Amino acid sequence: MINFDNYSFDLDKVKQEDYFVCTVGYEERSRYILNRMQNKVCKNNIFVLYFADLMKMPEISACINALEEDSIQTQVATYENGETAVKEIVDFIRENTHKGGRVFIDYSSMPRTWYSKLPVALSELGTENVFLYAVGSYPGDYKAYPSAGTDSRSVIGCSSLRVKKRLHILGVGYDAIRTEALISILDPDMYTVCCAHYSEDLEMEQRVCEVNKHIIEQALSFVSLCTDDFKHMVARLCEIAYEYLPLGDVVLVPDGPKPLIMAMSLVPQLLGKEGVVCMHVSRNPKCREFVNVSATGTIIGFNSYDDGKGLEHSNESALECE
Amino acid sequence: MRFADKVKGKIGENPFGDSQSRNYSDQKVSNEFFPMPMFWSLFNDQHEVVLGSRGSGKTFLLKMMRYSMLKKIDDDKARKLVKEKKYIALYVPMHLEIVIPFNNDKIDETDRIAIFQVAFNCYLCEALLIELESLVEEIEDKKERLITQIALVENLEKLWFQTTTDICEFSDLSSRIMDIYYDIDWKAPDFEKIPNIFKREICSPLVKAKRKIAELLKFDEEPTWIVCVDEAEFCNETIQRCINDRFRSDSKRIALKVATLPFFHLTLKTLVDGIEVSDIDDFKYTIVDLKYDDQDFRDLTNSLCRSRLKERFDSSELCESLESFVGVEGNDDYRDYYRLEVGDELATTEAIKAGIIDSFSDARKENALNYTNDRKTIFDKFAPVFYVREMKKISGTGNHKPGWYAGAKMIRRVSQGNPRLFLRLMNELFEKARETELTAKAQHEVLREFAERICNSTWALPDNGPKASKYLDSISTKLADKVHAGDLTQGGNSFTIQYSKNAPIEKEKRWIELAIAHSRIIVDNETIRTGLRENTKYAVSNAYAVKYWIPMRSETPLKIKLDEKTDNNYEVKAFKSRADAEKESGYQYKLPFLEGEVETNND
Repeated sequence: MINFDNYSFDLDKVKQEDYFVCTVGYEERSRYILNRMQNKVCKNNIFVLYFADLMKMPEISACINALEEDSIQTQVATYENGETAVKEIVDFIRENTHKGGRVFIDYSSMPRTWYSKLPVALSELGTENVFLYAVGSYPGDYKAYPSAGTDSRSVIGCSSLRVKKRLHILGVGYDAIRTEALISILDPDMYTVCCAHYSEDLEMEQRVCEVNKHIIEQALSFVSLCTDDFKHMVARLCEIAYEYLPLGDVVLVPDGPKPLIMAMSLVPQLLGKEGVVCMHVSRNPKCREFVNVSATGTIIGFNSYDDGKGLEHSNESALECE
Repeated sequence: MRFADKVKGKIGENPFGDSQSRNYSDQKVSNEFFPMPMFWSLFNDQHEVVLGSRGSGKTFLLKMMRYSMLKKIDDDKARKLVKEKKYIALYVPMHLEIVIPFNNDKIDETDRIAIFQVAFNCYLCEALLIELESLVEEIEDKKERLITQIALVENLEKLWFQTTTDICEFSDLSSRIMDIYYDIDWKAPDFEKIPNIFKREICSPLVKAKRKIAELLKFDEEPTWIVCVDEAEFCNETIQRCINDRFRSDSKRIALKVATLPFFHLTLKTLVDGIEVSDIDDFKYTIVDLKYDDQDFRDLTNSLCRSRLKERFDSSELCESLESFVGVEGNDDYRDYYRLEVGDELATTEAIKAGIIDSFSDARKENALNYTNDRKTIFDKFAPVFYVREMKKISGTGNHKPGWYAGAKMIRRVSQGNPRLFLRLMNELFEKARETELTAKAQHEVLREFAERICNSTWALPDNGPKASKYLDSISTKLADKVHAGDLTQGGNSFTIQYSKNAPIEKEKRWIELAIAHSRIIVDNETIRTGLRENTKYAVSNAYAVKYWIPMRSETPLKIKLDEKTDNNYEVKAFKSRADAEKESGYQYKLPFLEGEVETNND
């Protein structure tokens, strides 16, 4: 069974023999941790994934070339092909690390279909896996944040055969337009809303509540979580899923900051219960207006490890970790 | 006094919120159910594709058709159906999270069809067990009830699994079905372990068992089993071919009612190459959308107000209708709200006529003097446009907000005959009523905000949402310009599209169909049945009419040429300069720094 602990990242404690995996994306923050890790971790222990279509940009191709010239291992990947990307990362770690080694994974710019499966996929390797996230600095006018739209979907977990009611747990962020559209598509019998913010950024919580005012008003309940307390996020979400499972299926639809998406995606994997599913709705490729989020300088993280007890203990353990 | 004023300061749950449904027992749901003639007409032997826009109430209709729910409806027609047992309906959901694995085109199509058929048949068997439990419950004699239950379980197990394991409870049989369903590896299915009947075409387990069930339940004659397949819009073409295949087969007293969005019944093909189903011989399209001014929608909205508000107030304070909740100004007509804003003097017929003539072009002003029947040719024809023009002008004056988009009729218009939109709007009106008196101005404010959000969310509809959003904004602007820019002319919310070589109907139809399916564009039922044509007449929904101040009337349609400039462009917003970022973080970036525009997507 996988367990989680909050991790307080300290660059000074990173050792040369540690490993580092990240993705270079269009956001400035995608390179924030990489820039710092380059000086600390042995070059052979760094693995950088990047997107094929980004290579059309001279800045990105120059960045990747610079990494390659520096003998850092890079790997092109596609946004849609999450399974291949996860396999590439797992293979790199399996082939290069030894049992008990420490791996830092920066998921700040990874697509959700990649990072959501990594904690479970890496759990079998016996490594200590630390997931890092560079907290982002969002545009001042958060209401102008362009909607990412909705497109294809993938699902983690399995619906129950005897569907009674369905509770949707919706993760929300600044993209209330997307959430509104999702609600109209999913037609929930009832839903509860989750938002998450960095504990020292209370303003973010207020802003998210403001843009999602009408969504929250209609909800069964509203839960506010802290991205830097990952352990509590997972425990709380598992608890909600457990509470509602006797009434019907629980469908988690994550959105908002990546730590929240990660935590929501892990719930069906941890509980292993029929009727608890997580549905990823990808952004619409036709919505091409992106916000370049920079890093605030704060890095939050959690580590995951397998306690060797197996999934049959998952239900109690998931709740115990609170 | 409007009923909404009793809400002021009231705390606790909003009766129109989703939160209410948590505690809704089946009995409460059926109490709220308002059966319309169309509901009863679905009890027939024909396969039907039930078309309705998002939120039109298809799910509610299909769920209420189930035998176990029908028993709870307080209506003579329901009681007759229960007594006669000529039709027994089962509910098979195709929720998005259920069908995603079957839409995975990385799996070989033959396997995908096979796993869908297995999964569908598992859901069907579960649904059947629920209704059988309900039928067995009715047997008064305890011993006979038990004997019937055991006989049903034993026989079904034998028919479906070819084995018997001494089980006697429905839940045991259910466990055996669950074992099949949950053991399937959707990505690499092993069909060897699955009993044959589940692998055959959809509904096969029912075909095999229905005669035995009728015999054991001592039915006078075999009933027609109505299989309600909900949310088929999430099924891709391959899955829809499996459903069509059932349409083509000898119905054998099994009738499918497949609910989907308009234009989302994607194919007429079956699993047999070259053979298609026909929408006359094999099935029929049934449209369940209501118009905002249908008497049925009026009755439904009043019934919803009554039942929801009953939950929150004691029995001495009944709210009988939407009108009594929001109050009625005069006859609840446009003119009454115009009068409320401008005063009695400017709202007389003569004053309005004078205002209309004054807004005409010079040429029309001259002609207007010679009109013989000026009530019809001036007042009736132009007043609705004149009111909207004047109200928009007023709303643009300082911070003034008119009380124009208000009243029960307007709430029904903006809800567009759609129960879900109505409930969402009522939720917001109820919230407003907690804070303040729900005057026409307060209602106007809520309706304008609501309409704005509906329009904004068009962008996030799947696939062609961004395109639909941009075109609808552009079309609405053109319709609004015709009304507000320049002299008073006729204007309304209807339009036709002028297609071109670069923008042919084949290329444009998917965004239009999406907008119709989500009630952003309104068309007649014939168009929903037969498809879009070059000369199809469209109307922007009333939510767009509210946002853009467009009169809600169907006039000579405006011919719209699609603006090719509405294509998306890549853009990156709120970019910090490298120097600023370095200054802020106190860190020297080693890697090349991203500047300029990018063309990618990253989650």
